[in-house]
Amino acid sequence: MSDARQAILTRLRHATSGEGPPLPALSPRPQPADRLVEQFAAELRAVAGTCRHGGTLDTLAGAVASTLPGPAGGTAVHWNTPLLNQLLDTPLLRDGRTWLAAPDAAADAADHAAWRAAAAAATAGLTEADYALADTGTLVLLAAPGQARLASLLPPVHLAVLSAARILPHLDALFTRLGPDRARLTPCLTFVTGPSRTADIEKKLVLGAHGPKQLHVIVYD
Amino acid sequence: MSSDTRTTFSQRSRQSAVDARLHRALDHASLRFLDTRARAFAALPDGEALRDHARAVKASTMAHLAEHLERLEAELIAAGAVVHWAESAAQARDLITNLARARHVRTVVKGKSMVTEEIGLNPALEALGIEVFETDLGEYIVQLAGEPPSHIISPAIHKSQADVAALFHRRLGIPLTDSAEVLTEAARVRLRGPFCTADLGITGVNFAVAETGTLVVVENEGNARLSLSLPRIHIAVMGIEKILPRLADLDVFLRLLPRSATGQKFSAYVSCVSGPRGRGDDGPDELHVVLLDNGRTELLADPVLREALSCIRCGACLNACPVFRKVGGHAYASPYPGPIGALLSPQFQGMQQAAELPFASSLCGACREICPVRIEIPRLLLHWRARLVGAGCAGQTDGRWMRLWSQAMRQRWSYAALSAAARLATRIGRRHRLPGLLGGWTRYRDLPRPAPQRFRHWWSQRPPAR
Repeated sequence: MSDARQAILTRLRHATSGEGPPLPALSPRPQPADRLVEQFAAELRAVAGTCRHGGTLDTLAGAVASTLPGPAGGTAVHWNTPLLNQLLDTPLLRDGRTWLAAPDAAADAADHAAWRAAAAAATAGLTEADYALADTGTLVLLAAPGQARLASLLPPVHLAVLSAARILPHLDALFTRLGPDRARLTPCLTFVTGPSRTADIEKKLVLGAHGPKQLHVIVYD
Repeated sequence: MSSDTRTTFSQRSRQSAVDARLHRALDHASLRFLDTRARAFAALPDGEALRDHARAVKASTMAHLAEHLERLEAELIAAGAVVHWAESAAQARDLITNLARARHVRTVVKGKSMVTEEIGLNPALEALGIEVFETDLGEYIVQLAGEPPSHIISPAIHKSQADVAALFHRRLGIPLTDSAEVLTEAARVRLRGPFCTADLGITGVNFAVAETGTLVVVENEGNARLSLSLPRIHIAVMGIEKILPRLADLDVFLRLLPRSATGQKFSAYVSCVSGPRGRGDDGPDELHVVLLDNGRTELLADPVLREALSCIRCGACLNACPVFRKVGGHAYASPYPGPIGALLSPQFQGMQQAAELPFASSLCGACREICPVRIEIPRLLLHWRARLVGAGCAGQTDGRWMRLWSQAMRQRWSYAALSAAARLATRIGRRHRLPGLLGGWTRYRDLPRPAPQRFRHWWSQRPPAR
């Protein structure tokens, strides 16, 4: 197997003898800072997501409750973060719905198995968003303890709460912020732009192919 | 399944060129693709500069591919992934099937991946008794139909909705419907089980960032996210040319690919994988990356053909190509059809197998105009033609006729004789159908009508200049 590696690398080195143009220099894109929330909301709506302003942390629970699709009942899953744990401690969100938090760093195999089963059966997934990109209406989700991938993937509805301060103008701004640092990118960084979709049948747009059919974002200050 | 060695491109394309149902499907889809792509680029203020920049990044990357690959490997290994190198399709197949066997894999879910078609992976896995589910809707459709994909972005583009409804009715027992939503829902429901129970997920890679060891998978449906997160093992298969040197380069390419492929500003899901799961993360326990050569180093060694490796697999050239529009993807009998397919297939499938493809072009250049990384496709097609003729794979008959013609035109008496014969033929009235061996010429053309007077005659009659 390392024979293949050596053979390929040797062939590559002979093929070009290292001759070629230099990498073009990178000029970071200018970062406009105003009206990011408005731009984000407009772009997200253009791709069939919904976006509303949830006020501040105090009013957030109400906004989430009224955005969650009815009927209540059944299980919903959520990221295991301080903000969401606190949010879900209110009767408004607890009543009539069972919530399961994503595994944290201490979770064992049984916890993970229970999580997967719950996410597969859940009616909704509630997450935060680590960042957002205004120019495309994109959410940035980092896989980390408590920030499970399946919460935004398996249930038919994905609801994300997003701090306005986390909205960046564009992708280049995100990569500048995260730097070429593998650890900060985490094992899986996912960009989510609107609900799942396909146009494989006669180019007819259908939402909810394999991922969520609905994406709701609530922005708070 | 994708290489049909029993027929030729000429035979297949002659059939599909008169297939009205195929044309309806292709026209409908291609026009939509072209329209949405045009609008997306029109709305992009620096679109042209972006394309120039992307071309320059790719050109530079190719020159230092070895060092970028070593960097990618080092980063991936440091993150806990396993990196495998495969010189050929057979080696890649063996690597994957050996791993599947060692891990007692029974079910596989796959994201859409042309490179896994290229290496013929599915039959190799199925030969071990492993069940393989294509999960991209278009790929799932053609898998149910027992056909290869016909387009690199939209694998079932050749099928109408009615075709899909009939197929799902026959294979899945879904009642006949005229709703694309119902059909999509049927696939969603049917594949949910395999996603949740699969032991192994296999995807391709759109871009691999060397600087951070990040594999980027671009999609709209969510099936790739599911394939690379749910099963306990994820295998990512990539051609060695998919490398980008820096994280910041990804911005340029993620702005170009969705617009060029589907007219979107951003695809619904872009997954950037930099290792197997961390603690508390619900991803795969193991991440394996297969780096595939399979003739790419040879393309790289050719200074003209090298830029074919810049392709980002957007499929725009297929949508723009008047030949593809008429003959469809299956006529090419390759996982890579269309203009880019004509450049890659003779290398990946072999010159004997794909010799006709570079000749199946009018060199109109629509592909070159639309290519986001500005690959000079017509120039490369001509280069392939010369190589194929030189290797004896093509053009031998043409060559003989050319030599005869050249002999005839060199001498005044034979030129005059040919000219007289042509005038006789037109008087007999057979301009549109010559007999016998010459019939090949007139199958698609009429002989031009000769002028009323021969030039030599007219010249000799002209009054002398003053």
